[in-house]
Amino acid sequence: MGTQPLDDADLALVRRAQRSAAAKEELLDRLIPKVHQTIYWLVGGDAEAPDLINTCLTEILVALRAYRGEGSVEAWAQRISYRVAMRHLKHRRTRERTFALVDGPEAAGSSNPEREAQQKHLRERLQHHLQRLSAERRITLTLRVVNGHSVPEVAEITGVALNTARDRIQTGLRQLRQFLGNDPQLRGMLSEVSV
Amino acid sequence: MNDLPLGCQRFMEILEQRLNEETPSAEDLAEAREHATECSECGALAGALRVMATPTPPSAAEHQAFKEAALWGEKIVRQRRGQRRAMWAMAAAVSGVVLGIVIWRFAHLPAQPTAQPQLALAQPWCGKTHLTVGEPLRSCGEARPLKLRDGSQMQLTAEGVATLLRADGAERRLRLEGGRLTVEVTPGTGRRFVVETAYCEAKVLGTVFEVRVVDGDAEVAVVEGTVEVAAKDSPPEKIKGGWQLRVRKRRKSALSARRSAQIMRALAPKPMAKDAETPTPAKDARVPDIKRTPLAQQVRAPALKLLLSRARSCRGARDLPCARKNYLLLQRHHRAAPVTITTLVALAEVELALRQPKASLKHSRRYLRLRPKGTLEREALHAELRALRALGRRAAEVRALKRFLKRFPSSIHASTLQARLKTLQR
Repeated sequence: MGTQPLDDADLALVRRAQRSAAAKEELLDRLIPKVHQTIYWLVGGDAEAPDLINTCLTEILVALRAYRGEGSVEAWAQRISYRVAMRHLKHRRTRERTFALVDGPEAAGSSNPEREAQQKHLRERLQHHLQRLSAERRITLTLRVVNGHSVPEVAEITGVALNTARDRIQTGLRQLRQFLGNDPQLRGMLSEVSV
Repeated sequence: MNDLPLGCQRFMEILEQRLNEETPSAEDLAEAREHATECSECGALAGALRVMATPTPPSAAEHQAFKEAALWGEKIVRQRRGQRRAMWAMAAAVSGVVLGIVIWRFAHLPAQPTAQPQLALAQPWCGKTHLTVGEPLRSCGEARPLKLRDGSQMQLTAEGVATLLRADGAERRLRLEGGRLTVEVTPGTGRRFVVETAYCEAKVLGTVFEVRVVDGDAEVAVVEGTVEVAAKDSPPEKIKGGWQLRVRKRRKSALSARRSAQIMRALAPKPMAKDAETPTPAKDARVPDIKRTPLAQQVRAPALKLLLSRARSCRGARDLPCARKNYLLLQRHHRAAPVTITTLVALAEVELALRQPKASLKHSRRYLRLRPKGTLEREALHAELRALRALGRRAAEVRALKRFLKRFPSSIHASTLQARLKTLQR
């Protein structure tokens, strides 16, 4: 985890992507999983998540010229994903807190469909509890845990002080623990994962 | 956090250290793992964080769909940006062209013709209701005088040509090119009335005067009031009513002040004597001698003709107040003149027309007193009769009737007057 140092390879790829369709597709192949995961955990099971992912990827391609090679291209793309998600969350009027959400991410080419279905169900239920957190705490946790940003990076992205980011992580963890403690089924499923 | 069991508190501390990128010791990590297996809540939390951190890429189909959508979206966005840029560029170009046209148009606007000042007339004159500055003025044979809104009047002879040079709140200025212009200016308007010729100008505030140009010489005759006449390069002179000044065409350049003083002495109302003092020639050889080349001379001349002509023209134009005024001026300034006495009858007639029988009686009786057997005796007697009748003086009217019928028994009015007499005598 953490930001990668200045990567000339990433900068070269981005420069080629501005001129070449093949390089552009290569870049997308690298970024789609990260963006997909970020958007999914930031906005939860929102029905507009696929649209947000598309919007995010489009903005990344349009803004390729702005990438200067400071940090990995994934980290740069995740910042854009965060902005898109925040824009969406700001305008979202209602949050549906139900289990009947948009299908979560599906594992590619799994050989155990039953296990995959179980994992999917687990993610959906976990997503439900994450959505119960406040937006600031959920986003801070997601950026730290899902995107792998350092706490100073999270503070910079969210525009808060370092101690505020730390406090949100701490409070978010305790609150999530409390929610999980009230869900015996999910608790049992997650206990198996942690092992 | 204080309500958690001690083990859970310790677990949370280690977890937070890990998330804050602090490196817990190996013993702390082992303690945390062991606690996670024992505590379902803490274990669930650790599992949740692991699930969140586990990459869950989309399926291949979703991946491809996202890729195609992203490429398509980028293409659309760039197209729209290009269209927006083109639209803004076109709008800017059109705006620039329009602005350029507007600026060019304003810069090349034809100069608005400035309206020439005009002098409004109180009544139409020769088809004109206004006199425009710069427009030549010629008489069309109109008998009526040219009347201005403030009551001032002008009379231009048939051969007269005048041009209005200025008409504003301070001054009205006319230039007389030729012929004769009679001006009666209403006093109290605060505006100067100036008539200029080639060699002089007459400036007046309120009076009756006449300016005439004859063979290049200008003649200013003042009927009433005072007129200031200034010949070029000479100090102005004030001409009172009843005086006339002639300014001759100059033959030399400007005279010195000393020469002007000599001219002033020469312009005294006394006739110039043959042995008049010869003025000392100026040192400047260009200064002419006054005798050889007189610049101006003041001649005492009555303005009787002027008044008479005006009175007659006013009467012909049926402007009775104007006629009465001029007849009265004649009486005042030229009382003893023979022609003035004959105008008494006309004045009596005018007074009768103006419903002033008392004044009419005075004038007609004066004529009869001064000219008992005058050529206008019959007219004077007739005017007297009408005045007496209007005044209601029956006894006097009877006496006047008898006198008239005795003097003029075959008059065309005789039968009518006889009937009147009989009526009065009943």
